[in-house]
Amino acid sequence: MRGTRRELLATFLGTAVAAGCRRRAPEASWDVDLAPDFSERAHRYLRPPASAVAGAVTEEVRCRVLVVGGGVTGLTAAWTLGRAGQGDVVVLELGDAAGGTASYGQTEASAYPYAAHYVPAPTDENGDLVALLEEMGLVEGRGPEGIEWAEEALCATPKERVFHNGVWQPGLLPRLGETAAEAEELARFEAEVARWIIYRDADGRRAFTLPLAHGSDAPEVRALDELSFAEWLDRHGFRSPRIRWYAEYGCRDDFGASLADTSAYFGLHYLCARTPGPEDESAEFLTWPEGNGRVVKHLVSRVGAARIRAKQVVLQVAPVEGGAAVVAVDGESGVTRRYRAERVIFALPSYVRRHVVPGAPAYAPTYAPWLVANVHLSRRPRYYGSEVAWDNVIYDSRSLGYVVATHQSGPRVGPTVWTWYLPLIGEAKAEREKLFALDAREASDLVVAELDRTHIGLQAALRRVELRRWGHGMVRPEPGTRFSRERAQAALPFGPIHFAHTDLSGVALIEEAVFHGVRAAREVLAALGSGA
Amino acid sequence: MSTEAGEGAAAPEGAAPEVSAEPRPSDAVSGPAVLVAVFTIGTCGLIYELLAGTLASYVLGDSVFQFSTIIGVYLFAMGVGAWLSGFVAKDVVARFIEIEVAVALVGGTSAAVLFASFARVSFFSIVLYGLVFVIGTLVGLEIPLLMRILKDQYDLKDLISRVLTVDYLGALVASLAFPIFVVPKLGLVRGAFVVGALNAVVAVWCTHLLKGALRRPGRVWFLRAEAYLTLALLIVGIAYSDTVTTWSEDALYADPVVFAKTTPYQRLVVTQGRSSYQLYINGALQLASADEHRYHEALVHPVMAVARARAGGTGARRVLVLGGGDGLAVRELLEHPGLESVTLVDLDPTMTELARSFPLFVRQNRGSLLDPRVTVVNADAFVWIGAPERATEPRYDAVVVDFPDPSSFSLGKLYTRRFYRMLKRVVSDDGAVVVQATSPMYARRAFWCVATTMEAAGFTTRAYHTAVPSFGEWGYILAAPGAFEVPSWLPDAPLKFLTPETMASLFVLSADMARVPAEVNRLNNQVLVGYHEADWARWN
Repeated sequence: MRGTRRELLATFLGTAVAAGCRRRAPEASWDVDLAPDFSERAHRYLRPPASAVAGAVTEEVRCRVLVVGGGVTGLTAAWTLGRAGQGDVVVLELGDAAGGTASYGQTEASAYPYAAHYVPAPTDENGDLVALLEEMGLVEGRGPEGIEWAEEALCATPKERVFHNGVWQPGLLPRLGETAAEAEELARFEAEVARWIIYRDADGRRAFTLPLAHGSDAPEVRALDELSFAEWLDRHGFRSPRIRWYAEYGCRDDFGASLADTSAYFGLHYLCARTPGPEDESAEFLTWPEGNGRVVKHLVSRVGAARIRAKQVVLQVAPVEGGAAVVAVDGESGVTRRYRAERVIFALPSYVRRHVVPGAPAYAPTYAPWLVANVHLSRRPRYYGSEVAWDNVIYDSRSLGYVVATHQSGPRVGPTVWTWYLPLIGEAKAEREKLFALDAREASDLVVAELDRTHIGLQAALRRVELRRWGHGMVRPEPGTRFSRERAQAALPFGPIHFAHTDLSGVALIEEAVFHGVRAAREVLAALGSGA
Repeated sequence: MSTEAGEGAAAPEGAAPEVSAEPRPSDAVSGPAVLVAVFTIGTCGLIYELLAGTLASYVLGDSVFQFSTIIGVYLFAMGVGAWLSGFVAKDVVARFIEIEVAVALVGGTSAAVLFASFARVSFFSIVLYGLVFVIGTLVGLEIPLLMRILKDQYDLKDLISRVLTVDYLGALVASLAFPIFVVPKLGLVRGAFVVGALNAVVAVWCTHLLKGALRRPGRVWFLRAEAYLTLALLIVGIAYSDTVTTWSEDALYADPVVFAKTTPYQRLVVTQGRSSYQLYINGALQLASADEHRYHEALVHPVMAVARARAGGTGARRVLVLGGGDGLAVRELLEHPGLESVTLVDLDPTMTELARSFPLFVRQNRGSLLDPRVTVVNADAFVWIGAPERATEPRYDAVVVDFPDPSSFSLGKLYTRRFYRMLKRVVSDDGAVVVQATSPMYARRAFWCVATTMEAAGFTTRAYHTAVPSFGEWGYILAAPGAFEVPSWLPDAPLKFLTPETMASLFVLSADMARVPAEVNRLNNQVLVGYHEADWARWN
């Protein structure tokens, strides 16, 4: 990256942040760590043709089921197998530890998420996810209003605030300075959303459900998937900048996509799926200091740490006589092993298939790159406006703002960790190149300029900025994704190889990760059962 | 939105700068120049609203409803202004200039007035919302009047599109200028004066610009004098902003300030009058030495009596105090024979240090925190009580919970079911707990919400109250893991307030304090903060 700091800020965060940034205080200093991208490990071994490596195999390992990928999807698959009594499972993970986008870090001050940080409290409709959370001890009982979740895991009030017009305002949509026309348009927008919340098709199915697979496929629902959310808003005459901001915030937050790149189906899904009725509040969130790392910890303890092998680069997955063979290199020792399993669950993003699963049907949707920063503070900076919330959104920036790791039970003063998120919503390949061209200093400048602009005395409290680049952070649900035949076919098994990943739903949500993990594990159990 | 505000509001078809309307006979007004005035008005109007919202959140602390109510009042007032404009029949231009002057004066002095009047807490809300209403009404009057002034200059469709475009553009500039320039560079009080002065300059300019359109152009000197006078006043304001700010903070307290410190946790101020001294935390009175004995005797002795009765006549030996860093509750505890240890957990080391070494405090608490039986822990009570070590330590026979009122979410957390569940784990099965629970009269729903929440955490409760003149009618919730009787036992100590008979009477609540239904205060809803704010708002 070349150019001034201001140009850098304008490119990544927008002109408002660039205009409002303060100078770096000369006496302030903090550490910057840019975590190495772990896909570099994969690239190192995948550069030569994969077949060339196969000859170097030095060790053979046998197991009944091999899970490739130790994110929430792969771990859930292994967990489901274990619960069904199938314990002969090995999980291979590329990163330094299992977790994928639900990984987490830990300091003396707090644990904190590296990316995914909450689970929307599910209803009994989503039985598999409920079972997982219940096993984690999060269900206290069931009352007339459904599941009673453990109070300490439900996101504490205040849940969100938004920085706009120089002041933090409660809620997500800034109301200070709103005009009467905007208020009217907002009411019209809410009414339109409510119409979709109460929608039922001829078979009584809702338009938007979690997991997605349970939703309606009626023609009027399918029609939503044919246009972008931007077009949908245009057609309904929603032009107020606040409403468009609010709608796009949802797309950036959940999909890493712009309004124009999000299917209207998914734009509305974000607003409707977790709200039971038009008068109801959206579902509560379950969250922990380490974010969804808490779910990972539980799954790892259940699956058994010994069954999970980290730093493994999977080079090839292929059907062979009586099962499948998987070749993987140990990223640390360089030892190449061949795994022989009756069944393989391939829980990596689908774009990897063409490199490692020769012959499998190709599926390569678009993935959004993300920059995530963990900002370590020795104390809390001051600010104008409403109290610090769990989610702190910055209106006129392209970032999503930050979540506070110590929000759930930590003290309101003293050291803390903020996790700041920047989805790059432009053309994915160009954005990825832009992201990986950033050096550590430039990347930390982005975070610091923005947080400094919205707080008083941030620089003096800043100790460390830890940065992580997610080149393929999450799949983007572009128009046509929901009812794509290609996507449906990509989820079908390829011989003894079963596929599981959120990109097979088109959205990187934990509900979908659990859905696919459980589905693939059940496919495998059925196959093993009939084969035995 | 800043970068998009103009776009969303834009309606002009073709941005041709030429005036498309045919010239009118009475061409006394320069259209484009007046549009510059509209722009300034749009900018200033929004900045006043932002100033009011920011200032309210600043002086009232972390308030939940301020923003929505201020926005609501402002929008409503703008509607009232637009409606009132229909009653302006004569000499629209003169009225417009006068309104412009009035906006400059009221808006420009608004922050100073709000700061200064905050000292008189009893009617601050009226001043705040009154000011927001007046400014909103005046701003609401401006645009309709301007449209009428310009109606001969443009066709209706051009007029509306131009005026609204320029007005929205003004709002865009305001939303950029406020965070980037006004707040960081000028501060709230001086910022308001500067914006007001800008408004006054536009008013002066308008007296020149619109002179020809006045019904009696000879009287323009009068309007001009008003505008200049306002401008002069606001310039003086700019020069003396710092003095205004200091004076306003001083006026917060009735008696001379003898100690003031902003700690990382809160602002502590001690004032001393002729016969009493007072402690304020974040501007809210915490105690007055003249009558604190009523509050603290009523806080401590009933729970000690219940703990004694439940343990079959053995007085409490291990006692926990949460909050209460002034050491006054501990002073009362130390009157109990058989007491072996007191653990006091208070967030702010400055507060507990004050209680140990500031002569006024040491005299009042009789050096209670220096007693060898007392251990002071400076920690967040929520974190401390949930720490894993608590599970392995012996439980407490009695717990005194004395936090500030739940006026913010970070304090509201200390009144949740989750907190009381954790509390229940550190109380022995035959122990007892007392919680200061705000006023059952001024904040009746909030008071009963505390009782309801404690019951939801598995406690049996009894509510009681006492009158503390400095505060008014005050309330407590006495609780235990099982059933208990109204206490009557008192230690053999020289108490100033309690006797066995008065103690029984504390448990009698009059009809206006009787129980009302309330939701359980949970971490994820924090209903208590809303109850507390809404209840107290009726009395302020």
